[in-house]
Amino acid sequence: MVEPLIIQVLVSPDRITRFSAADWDLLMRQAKAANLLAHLHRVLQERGLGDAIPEGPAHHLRAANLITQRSVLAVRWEISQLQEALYSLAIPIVLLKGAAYVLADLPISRGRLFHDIDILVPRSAVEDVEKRLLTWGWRTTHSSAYDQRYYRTWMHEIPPMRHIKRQTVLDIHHSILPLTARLKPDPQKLLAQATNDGGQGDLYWLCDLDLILHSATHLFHDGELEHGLRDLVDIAELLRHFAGRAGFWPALCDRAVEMDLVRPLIYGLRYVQLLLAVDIPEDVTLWMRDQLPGSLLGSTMDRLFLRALRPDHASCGMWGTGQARWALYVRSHYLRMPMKLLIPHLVRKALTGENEGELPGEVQRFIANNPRHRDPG
Amino acid sequence: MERRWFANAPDQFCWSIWPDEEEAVLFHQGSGDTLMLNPLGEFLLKRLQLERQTPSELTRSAADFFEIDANSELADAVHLSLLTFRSLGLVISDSL
Amino acid sequence: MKVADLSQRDMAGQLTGKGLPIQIGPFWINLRSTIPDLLRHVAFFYSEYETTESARFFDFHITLKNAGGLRRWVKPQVHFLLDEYAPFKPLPYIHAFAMFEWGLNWCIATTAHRYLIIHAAVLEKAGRGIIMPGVPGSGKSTLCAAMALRGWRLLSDEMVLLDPATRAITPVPRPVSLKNESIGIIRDFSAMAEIGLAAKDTAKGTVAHLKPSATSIRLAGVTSRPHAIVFPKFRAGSRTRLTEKAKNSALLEIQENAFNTHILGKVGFESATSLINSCPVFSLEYSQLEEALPIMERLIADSEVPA
Repeated sequence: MVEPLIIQVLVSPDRITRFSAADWDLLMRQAKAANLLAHLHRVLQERGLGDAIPEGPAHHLRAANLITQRSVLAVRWEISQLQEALYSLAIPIVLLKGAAYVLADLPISRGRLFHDIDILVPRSAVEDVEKRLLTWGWRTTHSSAYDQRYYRTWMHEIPPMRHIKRQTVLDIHHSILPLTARLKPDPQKLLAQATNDGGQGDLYWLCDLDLILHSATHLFHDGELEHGLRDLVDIAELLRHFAGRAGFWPALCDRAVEMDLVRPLIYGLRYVQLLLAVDIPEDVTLWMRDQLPGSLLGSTMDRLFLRALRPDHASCGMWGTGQARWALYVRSHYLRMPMKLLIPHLVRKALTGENEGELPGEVQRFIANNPRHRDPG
Repeated sequence: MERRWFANAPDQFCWSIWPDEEEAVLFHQGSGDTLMLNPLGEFLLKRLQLERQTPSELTRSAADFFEIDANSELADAVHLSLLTFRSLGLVISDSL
Repeated sequence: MKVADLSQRDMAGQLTGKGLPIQIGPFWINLRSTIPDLLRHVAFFYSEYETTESARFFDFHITLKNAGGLRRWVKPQVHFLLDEYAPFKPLPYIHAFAMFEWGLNWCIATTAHRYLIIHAAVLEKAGRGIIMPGVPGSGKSTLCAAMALRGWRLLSDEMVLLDPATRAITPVPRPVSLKNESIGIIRDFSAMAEIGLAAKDTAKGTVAHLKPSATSIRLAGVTSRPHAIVFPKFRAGSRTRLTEKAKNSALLEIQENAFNTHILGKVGFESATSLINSCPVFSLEYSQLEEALPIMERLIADSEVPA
């Protein structure tokens, strides 16, 4: 299959030196659809290819970079507000995903846009955190009794909160997978290894290994595949950043076993290798084969993921992209909860979807279930 | 014990001031807000950009600066300003 | 090559097919639509703009299309798509052309961060630019339209694209958006006013557009320098009055009126400050266009306006 331009360029950035105007046009459309403009900017600059970018695309890449720089500041500020709101509770607040990358000052935070802030707190503290945030202007985004009950009974997070003035969305997790998921990563172990780089206060972020494991878990078990390529790039960048460290690979594999997150890690490693040409040492490849023997890898999952992880742009659509995302969406729900819970949940969501019209029903349900992708505000 | 206050990211404060105008304009990069400040507000924030201060320290230095009494009226004004700045995310308090 | 150089049939063929390239100020868009009102809008307002036949990079791929499904038969609606992404909820079908203009504003305001983008009209005479920031109801658009009809070069009725370093203003001339009573006022003001269809009952009331002069479009590549900033305030029955405005409150208002201060941060704030320091700032209260216009002329004539 012919890879989308954006994937070709991420793997071999030098290609852009031979690009026509039409190639640039398509590359930028794919990069934008995949939410990878700022990352593309960083990759091209780091490879010294800045001068090879024509003026038109260069404006857009620089603008994306500017937005990223600003959102790093905004995230830091937003975190300062959280800290101010929660400091008297004296509980550890562990940042996840984007906010963690910012506080840990990882290179990846310089090529990424931020939407929500994700924190992990001990389950016993969730109620206090929520109450405190209410007095600081945060409100729940899901007021229906059904949604509240659904989140609180089955999910690893409470319904997202949005700040009434700033509109920032905050996801408060007490675990990284739903309570009903087949995999059972112990949140205590995540909290125990959280780090703050020797800093002071109650603010922490996941340790390096857990950042990678969480990123893979989020992508392969959370059913948000329309930003799949974006998330895969996160995993690739984290791996590239930390892989040079002595003993990194064995430590990563051991931690995956300890956390019961072997399978998402293996998927992550397989697809960053296949799609983004990340080097995976041979003994790790062997370990992967040991852990997931035979037909589990390859064929079916490859067919689904390699389609679903393409950018969400018509130029990258192959027959089956939508079906692949849908199949994996069902799969991720299946991984999260037993079948008897899965069926009513999907049906209920389908009925509340407000879109009517051209989208296939399964895509509408997918969108209905991912409200944050529907509303750019 | 009194809490100590300081500017939230002191390097994120941008000021524009005209000598013949009383109120200063502040842009705070973190919050993205632009604000007009009276001389007391300007003084307090600039002070907190430099170092951590308790409300009583701030009241004393404001009294010195404006050459007025460090009375309860000024202390109240300082207190009120701090609360306002806190709600705007411009200052944070010591959590140690 | 101009859009007008295409035959009606070619233009419609491109709009309904692979897209019609249009250069609008510093931006190239590729526009697609099968909606007849939009085709008429483009033919009427965009005939003097550049187009091209060669493959190129586009800043914005824009599509306006019917919302599908059964709704099409009851309350037909139109979607604005930036490439494949719909940033807005659909609007009634008859508002398609207004939606195109608003949508394009949104595209520019969320992307063109090489400029400080201020929500203001900007016009020029004798190489001197006047910036008119305006909250809704300030009468900014009416004044802007009247000036454009009296020989001022229109740079924009909606957004100032200010280079943060040099303070040069890049034009992005577009149809001037008129609302409610303004439409009649401008029709009465000049027999030369070419005004398009009116979209009724939009979020902003009735909206119609005034066609900018061919000169304004031809000179879209020529930047301008700010000579004065005027904050207009229309107040029925008021005496026309020009007063100097305090720099600090002008800065506050510019910041509030800028679309991308939060993105440009310090650079944007410093550029807004330097803009305000570089030229005089006024408030203009007016009720009669014929009284306001000579004041604008005087500002231009006066090279020594007190800064």
